[in-house]
Amino acid sequence: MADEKRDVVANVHYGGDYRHELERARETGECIFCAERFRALELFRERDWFLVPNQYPAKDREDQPAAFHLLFVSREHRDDTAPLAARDWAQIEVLRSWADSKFGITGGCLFLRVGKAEVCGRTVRHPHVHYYVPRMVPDRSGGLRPVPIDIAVG
Amino acid sequence: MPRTPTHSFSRYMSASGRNKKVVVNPAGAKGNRYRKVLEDIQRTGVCPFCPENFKWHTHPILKRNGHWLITRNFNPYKNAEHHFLIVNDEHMEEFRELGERDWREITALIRWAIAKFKIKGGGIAMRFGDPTHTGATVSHLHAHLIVPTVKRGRTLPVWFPFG
Repeated sequence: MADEKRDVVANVHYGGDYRHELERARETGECIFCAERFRALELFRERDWFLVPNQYPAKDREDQPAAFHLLFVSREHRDDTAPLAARDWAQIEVLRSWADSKFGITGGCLFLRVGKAEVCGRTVRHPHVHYYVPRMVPDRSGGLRPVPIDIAVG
Repeated sequence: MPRTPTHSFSRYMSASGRNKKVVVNPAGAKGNRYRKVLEDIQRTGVCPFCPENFKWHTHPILKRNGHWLITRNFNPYKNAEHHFLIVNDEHMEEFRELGERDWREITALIRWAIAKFKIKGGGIAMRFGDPTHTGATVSHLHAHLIVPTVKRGRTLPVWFPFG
């Protein structure tokens, strides 16, 4: 099993704790998303997918973590280069709806990388979809404005 | 655990104090030319992604599959070798409105583009919710397929802004 999982990390271009975690996964061959300690973060699950908070949430332009950065993760460790099937999206929608109700989310951005990791910038070689929700801060007109998050493709 | 937001999108109020239905969001445009086009569209009050109003989109439709089509983005992001939009011919704005048939049709178009343009890798993104909060320029639901440029073996990242 360790031999099959040797190539579990693609890019180690982040810093800090996440980089350490990626480097450790590369050395041990243990997929981060398969690990017990990761699975223990599960918030909700469907048959083939589960929902977790990203332990290293994306930072926005004010260098603060996004209001929410959730991950939909496949329960099966499998080829992650191809676009997802309709049945995957149907389950992700159930998880997303649950998250929206649970956390009061009324809009966001879904994002996933496809194809070769060296082109798309994927770090963990395990099917997963990101769900970003920006922070809202007061603006000058007395309303609210989002603080943008820039998602890197590549 | 994620933090609970102190405000929700649905309570956003415009400067005039009225909730406004947003069809296009010029403030989210990247580039003056595109912003001007959106301001023109905003004056008409119609949705530019609905088939009867698609005239502002000057790129050809590359392929259709069921209720969805794929075309190039009028205003591609910097460093993108390809930047496609996948758009529904029915007006919908909420992610929850998509059914399995939609995902089959969207996925088929993405696979078609990957094969047709020999795409080695990229990202698929979809914003939904109030576009003045998500950075979407058009509230009509659509997906982006973004392919970064690879130059001399090095990938030049495309930054997809959200919010």
